[in-house]
Amino acid sequence: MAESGTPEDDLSVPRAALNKMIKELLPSVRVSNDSRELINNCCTEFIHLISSEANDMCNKSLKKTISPEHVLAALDSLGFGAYLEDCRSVLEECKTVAAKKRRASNRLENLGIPVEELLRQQEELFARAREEQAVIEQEEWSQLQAAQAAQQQQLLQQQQQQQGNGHVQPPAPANHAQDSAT
Amino acid sequence: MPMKSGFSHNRGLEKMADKSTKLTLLPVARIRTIMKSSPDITVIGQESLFLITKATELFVQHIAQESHSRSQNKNSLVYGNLAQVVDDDIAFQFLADVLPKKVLARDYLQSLENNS
Repeated sequence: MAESGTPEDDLSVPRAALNKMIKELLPSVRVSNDSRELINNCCTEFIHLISSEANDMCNKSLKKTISPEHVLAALDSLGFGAYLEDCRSVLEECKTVAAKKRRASNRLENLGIPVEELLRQQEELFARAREEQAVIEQEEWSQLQAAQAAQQQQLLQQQQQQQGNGHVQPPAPANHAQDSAT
Repeated sequence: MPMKSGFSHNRGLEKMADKSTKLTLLPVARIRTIMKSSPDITVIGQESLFLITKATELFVQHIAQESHSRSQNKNSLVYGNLAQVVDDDIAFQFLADVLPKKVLARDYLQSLENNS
């Protein structure tokens, strides 16, 4: 056993997690400290063993990433075929959890509506808003025109009234120059 | 001793994992760090990482229970029990360097004499 800590020694399964596992697997069994330490070392060796074998299988398959299939094949070829069944069910759980997370994150952000639908709705709202704005502007313009027309009408009537009452004298030839100012 | 297939003992591990929403008992991040310490390991997918973590848990269960079954005193587990498992199960041969059977000093000295 190494006395001084080399960097490799720090790379092991956390002792607390391991102790907890051992405690629950073998309740009321006194497990000596050096046994625990050894189980820890065995874990590290196991991890290296499986990763190395899985890596070899990955290289042979000309793929870049170590896939679950590589790991399962490695376990089988190294004599740990008995682990396969339980490993496969964890794999299924993994996939289910990952799929749930993707669906959940979509829903939470968008109140249960998928992104494509939201974009479509947004576009509809924009189009409708543009239409309504155009109608409003048209109405305002019509109103403005109507108001102007009414004003002109009023002025015209006033003028006709004043002429009828005789308040405004038809311009005399002599005063022609003055009246032309109105 | 042949390995049992299917691991009926695994219900113990399942019960432990169900207590939380985590899929594994051992931390996946630490297992990745251990793997990466080996320079030739290429990229590993997340699901593969979970698999190896799970396999390691099964390994702990396996070796702990096999060792315990070999111990004389069922209330304790000592080094010798672990070392015995390496001898008996061919799948555990890779642990021969990590778990050498303790050699008595005089036997060692004897073998040195024999070799010279």
